[in-house]
Amino acid sequence: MTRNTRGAGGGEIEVVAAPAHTVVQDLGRIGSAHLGVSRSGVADWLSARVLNRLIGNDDGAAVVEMSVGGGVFVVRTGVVDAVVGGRVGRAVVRSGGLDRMVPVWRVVRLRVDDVLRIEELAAGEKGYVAVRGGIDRPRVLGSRSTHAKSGVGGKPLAEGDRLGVCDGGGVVHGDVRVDRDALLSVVRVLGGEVVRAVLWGKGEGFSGALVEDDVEFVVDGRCDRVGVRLRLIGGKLKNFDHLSRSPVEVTSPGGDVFLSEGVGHGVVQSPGDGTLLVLGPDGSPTGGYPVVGTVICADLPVLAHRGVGARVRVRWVTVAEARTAMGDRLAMLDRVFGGENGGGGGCRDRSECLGEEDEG
Amino acid sequence: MTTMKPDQKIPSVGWSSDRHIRIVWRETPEPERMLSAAAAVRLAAAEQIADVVHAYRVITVTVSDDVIADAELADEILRRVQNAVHNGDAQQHNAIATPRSFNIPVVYTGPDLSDVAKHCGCSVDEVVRRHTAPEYVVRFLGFMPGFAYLDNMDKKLATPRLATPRRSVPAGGVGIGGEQTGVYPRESPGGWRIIGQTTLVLFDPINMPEGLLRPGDKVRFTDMQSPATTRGGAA
Repeated sequence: MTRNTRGAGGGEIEVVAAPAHTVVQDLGRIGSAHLGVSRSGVADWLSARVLNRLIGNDDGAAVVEMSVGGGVFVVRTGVVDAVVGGRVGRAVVRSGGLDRMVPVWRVVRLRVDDVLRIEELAAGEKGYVAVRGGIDRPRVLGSRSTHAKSGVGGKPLAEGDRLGVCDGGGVVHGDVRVDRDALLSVVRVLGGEVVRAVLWGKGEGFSGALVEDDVEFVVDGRCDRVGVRLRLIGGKLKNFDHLSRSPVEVTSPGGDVFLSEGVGHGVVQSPGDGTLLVLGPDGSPTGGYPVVGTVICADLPVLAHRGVGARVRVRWVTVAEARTAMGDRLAMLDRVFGGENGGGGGCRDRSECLGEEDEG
Repeated sequence: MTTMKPDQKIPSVGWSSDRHIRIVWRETPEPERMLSAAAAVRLAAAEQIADVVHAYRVITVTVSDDVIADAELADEILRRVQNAVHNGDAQQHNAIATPRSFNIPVVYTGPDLSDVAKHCGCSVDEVVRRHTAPEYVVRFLGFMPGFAYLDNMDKKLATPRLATPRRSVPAGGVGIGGEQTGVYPRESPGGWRIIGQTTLVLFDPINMPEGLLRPGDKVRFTDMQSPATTRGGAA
């Protein structure tokens, strides 16, 4: 009889400490943007997909997203398999009165009264905790994601909140094979500075490739799930010289309503004050500021971890190049799990996969 | 993959990113045309379309995640969207949702009411009379959940937005911003001139996350202080 015949999932976690902006997110709320409802969802889809696959969940299972370290969670009931990822530098489990460091990106089995602490996560970078089965909370408009400003999907997590864990199924089967080199390449992607974007043509309509050189920015001021403000520090946007002129009159939050159009996560706006604003997952689905371009989906996971003071090097690419880049990311994701559909094959080393051994 | 040439009445259709198609008119089309095009687009590629958002002159289509890396599928989606926009049935939007009518009861006292009256060169009573006269139509929703941009406001009431937005407009605040009018469904910062207050619930994150109003719906404001007041809700 192995110790793993009883399935994980179906337990409950309590939030002991939650820094600001600790929220439950899945891959986002789609189909309601025309009602003024933001997509929300994780800022870094790559981390979410890797973590959910590591733990045997569907990619869309809900996870906890943090924007700074200090989160502490305790298991109240059941057995909870958890995995930490994103840009977390150090996570610790206290079990039976003893602390042990847990490796990031490796599944750890937590029992009742075990405490998980996210100790190192720089402000503005994103950290994630996924649990086998996924966080269980009611779907609102099809998603478990939280849009803090409107309250759709609930509120950010606070001390004392209880989080249900969906039943992960009968037998523990998520002991996936992990290609370490591929996993390390994911980790490198998350720490990158280069963010590729498709430049919008001048005037209306799509005018194809207007190629500019790389432009250097620093994240300055706003840096949250609604948007990231970029200040130009090097290079030039040849077709957007108004960025270096004096501020133009801003007529309302969201700009002139007659310019309003659908926008979303990754859209780069020019608010008219000399900076650029890159919309985050919680940004409004319509906006009236002029648009410069859109960060490519492949690089949203890079953008997610650019905190205040971080450099962002914007490289302009075509739509075709953006699709190729996304294909590259998906191929990298597949390589982490050594084959089709993530997981598969037996567990190479069960205790290693579950983080039972202390690797120091 | 070709982009259609822009024309007064024929919109251009093309990828603005790896996941957004922009459908852009050079001149603002009739709202019905816009709603029909949006409906036709939804129907044309339902499984691969995540969202369709329309405003005045642009429809933004967000495709589903599985399209992003797939150049062939993306080309196919663009073709279907172009076809839907250029050949779609003008009345198609009625197949998606029949417009409804609402009365919004308003108490016309607000921090900016006398400023609006002064700006428009008329009395407060006349502002109220002109604001309650038209039948408004929901042009589109945006800015926040349940926030409807309403057409047909009396142009005499047009007042520029506040130079510095208020940090907090209460839920139910009835405002004028330029030539637009609308109601803040939830407490929010806001730059519109607040001329009144309604208790009608336009959005609730738990009980009505989809909001009350939809594009194409008709709205009338009624003055709660007048003898001929009707109760709010769907007519």
